[in-house]
Amino acid sequence: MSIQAARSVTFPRRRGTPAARAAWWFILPALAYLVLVQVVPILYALYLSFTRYDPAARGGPKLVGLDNYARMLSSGEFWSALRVTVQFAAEVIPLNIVVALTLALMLNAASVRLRGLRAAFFLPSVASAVAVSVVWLWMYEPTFGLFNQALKLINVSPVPWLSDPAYALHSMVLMRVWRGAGWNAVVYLAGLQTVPKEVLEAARVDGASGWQTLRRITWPLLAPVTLYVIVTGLISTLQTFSEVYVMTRGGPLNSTTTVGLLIYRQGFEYGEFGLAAATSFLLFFIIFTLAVLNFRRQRGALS
Amino acid sequence: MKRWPLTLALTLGVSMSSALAAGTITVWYAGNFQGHIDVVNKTVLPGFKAANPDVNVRVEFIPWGDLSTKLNAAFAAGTAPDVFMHGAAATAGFASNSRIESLEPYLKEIDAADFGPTLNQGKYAGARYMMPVFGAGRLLVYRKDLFQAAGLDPNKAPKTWTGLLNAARKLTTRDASGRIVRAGLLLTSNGIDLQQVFASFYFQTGGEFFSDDLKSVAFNNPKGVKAVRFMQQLFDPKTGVSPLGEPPSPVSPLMTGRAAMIYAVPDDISDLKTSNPDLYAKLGVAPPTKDQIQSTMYSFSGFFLSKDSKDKADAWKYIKYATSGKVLEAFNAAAASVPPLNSLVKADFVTSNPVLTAYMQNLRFAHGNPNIPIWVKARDILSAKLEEAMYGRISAAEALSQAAKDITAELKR
Repeated sequence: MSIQAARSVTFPRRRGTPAARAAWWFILPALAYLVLVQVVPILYALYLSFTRYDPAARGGPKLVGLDNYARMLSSGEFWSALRVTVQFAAEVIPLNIVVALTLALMLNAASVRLRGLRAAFFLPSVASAVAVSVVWLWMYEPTFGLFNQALKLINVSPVPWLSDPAYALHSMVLMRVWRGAGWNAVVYLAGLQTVPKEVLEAARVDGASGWQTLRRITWPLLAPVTLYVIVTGLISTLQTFSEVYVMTRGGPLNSTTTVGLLIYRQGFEYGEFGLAAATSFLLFFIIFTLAVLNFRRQRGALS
Repeated sequence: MKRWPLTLALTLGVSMSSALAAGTITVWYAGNFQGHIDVVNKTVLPGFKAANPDVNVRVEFIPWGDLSTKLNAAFAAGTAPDVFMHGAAATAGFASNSRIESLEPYLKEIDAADFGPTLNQGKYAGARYMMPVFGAGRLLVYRKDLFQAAGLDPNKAPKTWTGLLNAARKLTTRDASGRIVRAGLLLTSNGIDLQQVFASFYFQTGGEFFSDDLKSVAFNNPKGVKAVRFMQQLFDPKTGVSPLGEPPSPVSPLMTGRAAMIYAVPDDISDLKTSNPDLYAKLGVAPPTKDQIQSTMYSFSGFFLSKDSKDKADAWKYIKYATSGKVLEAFNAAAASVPPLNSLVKADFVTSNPVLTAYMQNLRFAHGNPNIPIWVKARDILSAKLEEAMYGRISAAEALSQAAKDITAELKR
């Protein structure tokens, strides 16, 4: 059926029928959840972003118009946190794709006996971010931490993983890639199952090398999966909070202060909920724009 | 047939409201330390109930990290507890928003003299709002064995800034590349710890953070610059005694040998008493050093009475009971913390613990942070500028001047 034909199909109106009324009862719980737990709080947060509101103060929120947005956009700490957050995302996402795809290719080629490794690589993704952060804090410990002890064995000077502003963010990136690569590897692994075997065989028959097959056939066919990995990666990395809160509290010298941490401080340490809400919407706007741009770029590439 | 939901709701509503009406007060304790939970559940609540059979108490233990968030939410929703525990630094914020009750009318019922100056930690605009429960001071804790090995007298702790720097330099060891292996005096170069260590040195110069009326910044002066410059010497990459940016260590740096001296609160070293008693016995606690005066940071946490409490009389009864001598003795013994009562100096848990005894003896040099409503933000602004100064990005004078400017803007806001 062509698209034009499909558009011309009309369905009989079922509104008011017993079946339609019954359908509403089935939809109601999910709809109520969506409205009460998602839509209403988002709208309330949007309203708060135009107010000055300290929950400890009496009198409730007071409208201040666009003051909170103006204050944030002219604040050095917001732009500094945004730069850190974007740098974090820009390092994590490509590294994550490389590591995840490599793992997926290896797992895909591995024998059945090694399939249990999938669970091993997947485990860090389901572990609590706080628990993982505490474990990595131990591993980054300057004197007895695993990493510096390992470097000591090969006569390499200890690295100030979290104490030097030049290293701290990269150390956080390393941990985040370790944590997220397993999840994305499973996603890529699922994507690899959809690559038609006959196409790969045809390439092999034509004399394509493994690298050529990967570059010219597998990688382009995995484009939708990569789009998913990038978009979900953008959403999660740009909202990073737990790791930096546990491991560095944003230091040293604010080199790991992300927008997520800034929002937490504004809201829960300084009681400036209006400002925190405004910063949240600025971050939302940035994530939304990047995600849309990425969708468009990928669609263009696919077409 | 269809009336049963209404009947159920009415029954539940009536029974709940009658339960709440029967003199039930809600108390939030800060922290979820098992020792405190045991003392409250096994000693405090049964004792209070026996003395006040007509008052029901519902107790909740809120982790420190969630306390402000939950309190803010509860105040906004009108469900704040009748009594809650918090740090003294929270006083000004809650008092200026009229969320807590002044305790002045109630204090005549207790022996205020036994609490001494600790009662003033919760003072705002001339009124006292907090009944102290436990405290922590920041004192120099050092390893006597390392003092001896470095040719220092383990029984003579440094008394002046110069003495402290010289001792720390002797205790510092570096590897071939010049990196500090053992810090003579390990300091945190960011956050609250940095601000508190600066506060201790700054108070020793005789300085104060704010003017007497708490309306203008007062640390941007030669005394402040002197304290910052001294701290810069401690962090100097070549001649200093502490590395910059030391991350929080899961193990005490005194135990790992990473540090010979640290500025510690009792909590920082209390674990060593059980995990490494040999090392604990080798620890010395020094009185505060002196520039113009001897002074150091002590801060107390305690109970606040909610202004919205519908049963203030019963709420006060609970506060009074939970801050009585016997209860405070049990509560502070559980965590080896500094009790706020002078009469507890001779309590067994203090006298049997030389480290805690030292903290109690030095309580006379205690100085708290200023009580202003925007203190948390002011503290963070100051910490951030101090950190830049420690890294040599800005001078000591610039750090204080920039911090003063930003804090003044916040005070005006």
